[in-house]
Amino acid sequence: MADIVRLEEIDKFYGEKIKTQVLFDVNLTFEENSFNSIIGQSGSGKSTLLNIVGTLDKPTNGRVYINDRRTDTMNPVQLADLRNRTMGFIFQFHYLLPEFTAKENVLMPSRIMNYQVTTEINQWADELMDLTGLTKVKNNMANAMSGGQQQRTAIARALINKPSIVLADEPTGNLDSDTSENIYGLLRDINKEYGTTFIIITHDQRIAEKTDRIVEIKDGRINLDVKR
Amino acid sequence: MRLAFKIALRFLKSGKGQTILIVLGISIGVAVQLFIGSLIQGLQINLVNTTIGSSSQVTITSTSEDKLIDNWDRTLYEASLFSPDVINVSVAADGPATIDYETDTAQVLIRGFNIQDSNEIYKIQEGIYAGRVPERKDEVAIGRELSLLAGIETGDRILVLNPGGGSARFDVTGLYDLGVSSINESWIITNLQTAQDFLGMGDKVSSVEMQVSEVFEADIIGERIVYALSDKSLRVDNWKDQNQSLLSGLNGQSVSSYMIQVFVLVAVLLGISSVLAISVVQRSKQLGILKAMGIKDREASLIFVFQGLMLGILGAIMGVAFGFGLLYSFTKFAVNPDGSPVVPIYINYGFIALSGMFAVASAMIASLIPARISSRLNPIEVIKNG
Repeated sequence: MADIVRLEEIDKFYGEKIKTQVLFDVNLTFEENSFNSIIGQSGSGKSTLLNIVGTLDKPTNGRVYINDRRTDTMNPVQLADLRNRTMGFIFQFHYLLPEFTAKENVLMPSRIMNYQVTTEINQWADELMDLTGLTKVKNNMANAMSGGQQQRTAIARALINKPSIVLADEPTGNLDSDTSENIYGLLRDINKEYGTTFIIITHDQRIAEKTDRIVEIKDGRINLDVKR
Repeated sequence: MRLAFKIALRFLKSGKGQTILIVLGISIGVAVQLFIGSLIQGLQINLVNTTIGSSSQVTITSTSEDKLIDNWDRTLYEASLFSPDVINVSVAADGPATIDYETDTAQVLIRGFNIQDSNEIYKIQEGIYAGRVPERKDEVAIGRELSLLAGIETGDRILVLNPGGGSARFDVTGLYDLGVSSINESWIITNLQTAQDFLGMGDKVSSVEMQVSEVFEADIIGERIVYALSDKSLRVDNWKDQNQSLLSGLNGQSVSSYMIQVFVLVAVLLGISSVLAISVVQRSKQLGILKAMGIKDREASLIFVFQGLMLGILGAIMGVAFGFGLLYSFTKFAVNPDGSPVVPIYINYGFIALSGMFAVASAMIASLIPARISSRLNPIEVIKNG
């Protein structure tokens, strides 16, 4: 299958005076419709890698391709547009806008793309909220929900624009294990149903083992790359 | 754009306490500006009214040998051509004299007017507190100070000596108080013919006096009158040239009023700017995630510009209301013993609109700094810091 993400010879340094190298000559690709996990100790560079894929960060050296389009040379407006149309983000913290209701939060990426919410988009939002079990709380303000509900809202939000890639950085890091299981089940279902590529950072071994491919980052290098 | 507006509105609504504080800050600024501005304008108009409101603002005199205007009907007509810039045109026959009363003598100024015309300038009728204005020949009115000094009452006959050595007796028909003691002390007001005869002027007058609708343009109007006068021996003076110190006082007052308003404006500007800047920091998580989701930097900045705009408009409306409240209570509580306000307030709607617009504009300018901060905010900073 075609590669949706391609990283070539990625180096990443942090710091101005004292430079710390976080990523060393990383070459990595992810296939379309795949369900991947990235594991590694904290400080290994896995989040940096994910942020580079998500165009939130730029590599010091190397090239990044999303859908065969090079992103590390794009301007901020192009990048914003690319993120909005092709990517969904799920972070360890939900980062919902507390000033808006759950459904308004879910619709936010769609409104960023196009302010008008069409009937289809509205139905899709309801469908997503149904899928994530949020129908009852969809008109609650973002901070009037439980932690699990908030994180599921963030997931629904990541999917509203039908992105081809979803990047998740420890999406269940703050949740108990039952809720975590549920959420991974949900992500897996979405992957199967809509063919969305998932790249998930986790340090939960059990969850990693359920993914199609495990990439282990150690000290800024790929240590292990197992496909099942 | 609409999304930025929607987000801005939500941000303002969700931080109600903060929003109220900023709006209050802006409105107090606007209110103070409006109050001080209206007060100083009122003070200025009041001052102009009391100082030059009841006197000649543009005066035509002659430079001929006898200092008299010969063909004054024509001059009067030529000056009145400038209506409506020129109002209340009147002639005067003036000359020094000495009044001889029982115990002493006093230097006075005989002022012969066409009483009806001059009344518009000097408000003689209003100033008469005993008796009536002089109407017939050899009737005069004298001022309060002179009447007290010389012990003259209405109905008395007074003896007046002219510089040429002649003398005449006049009937005092009225006592006046024009509000200026030097006038009350020295002017003997009579009709034109009495003064002309007493001073030996024949049919001539000594000056043509007039007021103008825009007092601060008296010099410009004066210059235009010079061109229109057919008698080139006439000269035109205006109150601005004759009262330099008053003029500089009035100017000083205007400048200090502007300074106060500028500083109030700067304080309001800094206040809004700093609160909005703090609100960027407060909302940096939200902004970070919005940017990660693909909101463009320009749109993110617009959120704060819209916030500034809304705060400015709200603050301006409330400020104008507060300002009116202040002005109203000032006219009710800061009053003279007779109940009239200490400073009559002058409401200038143009000024109020301008001050409201300034507030809106300054709120928007103030929002540019936070808008810039938010535009530069990198989502990675927010996401990395959790």
